[in-house]
Amino acid sequence: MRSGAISAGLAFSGVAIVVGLWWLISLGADPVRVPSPQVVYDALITGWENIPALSFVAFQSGGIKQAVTYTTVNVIVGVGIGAAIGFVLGALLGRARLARELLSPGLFVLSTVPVLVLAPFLTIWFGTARFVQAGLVIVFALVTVAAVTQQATLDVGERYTNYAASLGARRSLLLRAVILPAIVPAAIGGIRVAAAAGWSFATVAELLGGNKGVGKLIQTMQGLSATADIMAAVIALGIVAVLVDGVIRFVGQWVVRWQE
Amino acid sequence: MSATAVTAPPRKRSVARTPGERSAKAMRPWVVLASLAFMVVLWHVVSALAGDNKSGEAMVPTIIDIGGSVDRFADYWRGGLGVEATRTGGDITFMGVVLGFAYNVGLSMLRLLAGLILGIGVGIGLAVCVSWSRVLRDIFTLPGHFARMLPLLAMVPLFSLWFGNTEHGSVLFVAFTSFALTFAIALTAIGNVASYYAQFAQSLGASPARTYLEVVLPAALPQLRAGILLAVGFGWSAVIASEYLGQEYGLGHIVQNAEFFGRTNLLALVALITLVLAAVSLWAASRALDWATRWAE
Amino acid sequence: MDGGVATAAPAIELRDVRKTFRLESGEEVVAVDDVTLTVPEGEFVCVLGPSGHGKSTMLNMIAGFAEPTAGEVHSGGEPVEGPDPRRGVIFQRDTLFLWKRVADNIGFGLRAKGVPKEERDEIVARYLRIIGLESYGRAWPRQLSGGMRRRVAIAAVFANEPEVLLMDEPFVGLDYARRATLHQVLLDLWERSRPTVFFVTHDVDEALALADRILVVVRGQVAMEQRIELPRPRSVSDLGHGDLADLRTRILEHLELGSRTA
Repeated sequence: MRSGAISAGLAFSGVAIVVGLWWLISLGADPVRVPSPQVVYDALITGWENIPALSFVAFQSGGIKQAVTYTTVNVIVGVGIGAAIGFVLGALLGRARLARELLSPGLFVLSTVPVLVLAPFLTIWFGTARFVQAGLVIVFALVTVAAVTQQATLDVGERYTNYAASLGARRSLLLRAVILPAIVPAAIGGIRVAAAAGWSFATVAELLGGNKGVGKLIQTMQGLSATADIMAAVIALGIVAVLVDGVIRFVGQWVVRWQE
Repeated sequence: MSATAVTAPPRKRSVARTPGERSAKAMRPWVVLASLAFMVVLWHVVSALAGDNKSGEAMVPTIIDIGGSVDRFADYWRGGLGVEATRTGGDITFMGVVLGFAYNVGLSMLRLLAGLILGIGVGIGLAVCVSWSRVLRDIFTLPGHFARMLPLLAMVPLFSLWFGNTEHGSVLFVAFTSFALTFAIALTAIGNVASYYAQFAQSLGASPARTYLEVVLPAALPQLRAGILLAVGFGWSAVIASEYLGQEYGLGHIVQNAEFFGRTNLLALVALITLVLAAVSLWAASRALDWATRWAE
Repeated sequence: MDGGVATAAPAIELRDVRKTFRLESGEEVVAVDDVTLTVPEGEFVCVLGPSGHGKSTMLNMIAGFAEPTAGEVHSGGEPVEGPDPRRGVIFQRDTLFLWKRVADNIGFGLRAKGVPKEERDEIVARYLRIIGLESYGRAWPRQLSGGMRRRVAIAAVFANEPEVLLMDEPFVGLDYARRATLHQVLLDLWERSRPTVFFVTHDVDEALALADRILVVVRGQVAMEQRIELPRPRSVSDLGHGDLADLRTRILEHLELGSRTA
């Protein structure tokens, strides 16, 4: 058993090692291509509130803060919507054969097609609307959460329903007291995976067809060869992503605190 | 994309399958077929309602539209082998279509395969080296987790800046995404192996190296399944993103070109092709993983 | 045992051994409370007691998986400093390597020792025969029943020819008939090489059927000790009459007393 302080120390020494390696690489590289950690940190500070170039080139006001906020909201809302639909759908698919028969083909297509080839269609059909940027996140969260929830529902069906029925549980109680608690842990696992991937899908949608957010910032700054700004925005978003993942994990552990 | 692949907390039944094949109680084929037929009909009704775009192609292409755009592949043949490229004045020929199709599909698949092998290999290999020591594993857990949470797909422009729009830029980008996805998951998987396996091996006289290689690593393998399938699914998106932004050939470039010129029919055709390719590659990967973990309960 | 050097040192020796654990709440719990005991070479000792009273902790310290908080643990005259193939361990939970075929599981320890393949195959085949699973060498563990898997685990440890065998409730969860079969398999194997056995169980009948000596452990201490001279195999009627029946009653009284004051 290791104490929390030592674990935290080790974790941060890991970050220090990676930053150190990056610094060593930047010493021998073209500063435009690989800016040093110091330069990226400065870019983060000066660009946090406002990057003037963004408003000239991309008509996007603000700086890294606005871009990160925009993307973060897209991811959280997208994962929320997708996971909610996916959870209900997964439970339904696990319980009802007819639902499985009717919806499985569609879900198979959605879960297999590389999400990125859906992006152009969303742009063509709906333009640069905000929900298009969240669209890929929603699709991925939906299929991911539906898949794990369906499997968990099928498993619990075999394991607990007979037992609960023998105790005289009615259908509604069975659903509320037996099936729901048994499938929630799996769904939370699915939500964490969906959220982790969500950052990729939201930003790449912004990059390919949006007019705001970190993706748009990356695209604009690439045109100006402003590598430091790109790296600053990517790292800032990564930190937010780690924090959001921590919150999901914390809430998830609280929700299933009865679990062994 | 591979919802197949989900890292639930470690537990025996975390072997997820694609929604299509996971029915515990068999589905009735005729209902599934009826559902498919209904979807196709619905699709074509929507297509008729949605109308055409400015380029005169359907907003929602029908099956006939999609089939009719196959000869567009001739436009993406680079020329040679006795078939002149259409951009230099060549006609659309059957051979041109076949060559254009094979060339672009082949390029995308090669980039994907090279990137996946490199990325998954380095990801798992590094996790194996690092996990040998518990201190090292604790040190690299946070950086690994951070890498996984990065907006990976949107980092294509960084790879363009670093490596230019070159072949190895695309391959390295795919490798980077699959590395980030497998490294963190492999660290967790190895860390989760129950300690009694190692205790039993040591009580039988196995050295630490033998215990690690023959006992701990195989025991971690089933938990890697989800991460590897996720990397394969993500890899397709990564290839397309990379080709979309900086390659002259490949399926992702065709997507970019078709979108730019409003060629929705071709766009739908490429979507269909990638669907089939992704399904086949996920199927192949999961069969290979099934074989490697055929001992698992 | 090895090299014909007849050492007087006991196979297992605990001197004033104490083991405490700290709970998450910060509370200190004494698992093993100043225990001193010796097991001479070749003896079959059963350690009997309620769950959570320190039996497995003792076994883990002898195996070398855990260190005592105070006191000394010796085996064959040497202090225990970690796991050693001379002390084979059979766990309560199924520790067969699922990714190795049955024959490879049995041969694992031999391979670790560097026994050449031909000799190894021969030994593995012999053990497969003894446990009655000749045709299962190429099977995966998951294809075997619970009882068959325990037999393989036992064979895997015996094939390694340990001097001391530590068994931690190895037959828990099996029905009466399977258990009787496994007792027979165990005694068969034991008679061939006569290792010292330290067998932890909470089943009184199991201890009476197997042991040369029974130690009753209650709340981290040896509450009672009794030799059994009756030859093995012991039948059901042996257990139900005479000395063994009396012993059984006395042990149960000790266990009941222990659980009441616990």
